[in-house]
Amino acid sequence: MTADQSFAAAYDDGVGRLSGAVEAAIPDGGAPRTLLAAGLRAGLDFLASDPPLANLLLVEALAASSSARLAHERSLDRLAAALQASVGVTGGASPGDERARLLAGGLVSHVTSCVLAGEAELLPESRDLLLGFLLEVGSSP
Amino acid sequence: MTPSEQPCAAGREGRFGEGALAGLPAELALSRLPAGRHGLPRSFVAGNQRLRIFAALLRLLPEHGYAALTIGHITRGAGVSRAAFYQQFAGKEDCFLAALDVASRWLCERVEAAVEGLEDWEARVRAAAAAALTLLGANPLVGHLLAVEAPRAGGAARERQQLLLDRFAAALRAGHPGREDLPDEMADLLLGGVVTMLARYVRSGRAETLPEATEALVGFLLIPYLSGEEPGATLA
Repeated sequence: MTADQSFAAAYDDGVGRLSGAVEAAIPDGGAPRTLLAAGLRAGLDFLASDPPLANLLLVEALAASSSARLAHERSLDRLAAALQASVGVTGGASPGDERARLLAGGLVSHVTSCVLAGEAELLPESRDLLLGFLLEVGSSP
Repeated sequence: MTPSEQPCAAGREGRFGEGALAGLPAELALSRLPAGRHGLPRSFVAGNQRLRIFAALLRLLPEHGYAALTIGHITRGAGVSRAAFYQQFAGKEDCFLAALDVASRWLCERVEAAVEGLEDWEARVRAAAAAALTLLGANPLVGHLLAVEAPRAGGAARERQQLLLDRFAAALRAGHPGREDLPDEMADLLLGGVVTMLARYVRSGRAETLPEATEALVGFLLIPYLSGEEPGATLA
């Protein structure tokens, strides 16, 4: 297995576990805002619990091969689609494709900055800020 | 940096931004100088070589990426010797950071010029976004340097990129008419989204269409500052 293949396998595995943690944390029912908050909390907690994995998923993916970068972009697309659906579900206007991608980019950029600063363990403290950002920008018409 | 280090915003076809070369025609400033005695001042030769190195760096980054790009690639692309390269830069990172500084200053100066004289905050945001997207759409290699390579070129490059973003974030916050309770980090989050969008357009070869995204981008930047109520207040 080449270094690129090893990285791709580790990346896919990490993204799969992150997605699984988020999906498992979202209850079947409840106030829409609560559902979004639960998913966000689970994602941040997951990354905070494993800073090396957070670094791999968010930092090393930027410097990796073009195929790994494509995988990272697909992850961003999935996040954008999930945000588009979630924010719409919260009762606000569902953001358009471009705005959903901008939201996903802002979210990931903030988390990446925290990881780069060696503050992955502190990510859960950003939850209210990020939730406010997603609702503020995502749910406006 | 010297005045002759004005950004050389090369496009894929070797295009350069207007006014980028401190009064020198691009064809002259960037052309390879004749070998041997040519009677040109040493400072001109050095400036010419530096510009050609920047141009080569910009042109080669999308092909190789920062990590795989070598000084040999750059010197061959610029048509300069290794000795000439090392007279200008301590190494690849030094060269990259210098190019990043030039490109950042180039973008800032032009965006700030676009909003000069505008008093209304919203009009300033609109003008700045339109100017930035137009500039980067016309100079995709600069967009690639700033949005794609800077985050992956090491800590110093990321710090430089962050300084640029901080400058735009401060401008976005300054004098906004929105709620006083908006956190300062809101502008950082918004600009993080913008950089990700720029990187996507540039990497996918759609940089030229960036100006078409101006309305979506402006809407994204304005929303938190122009909306009147607490986020999701009615959704709990």
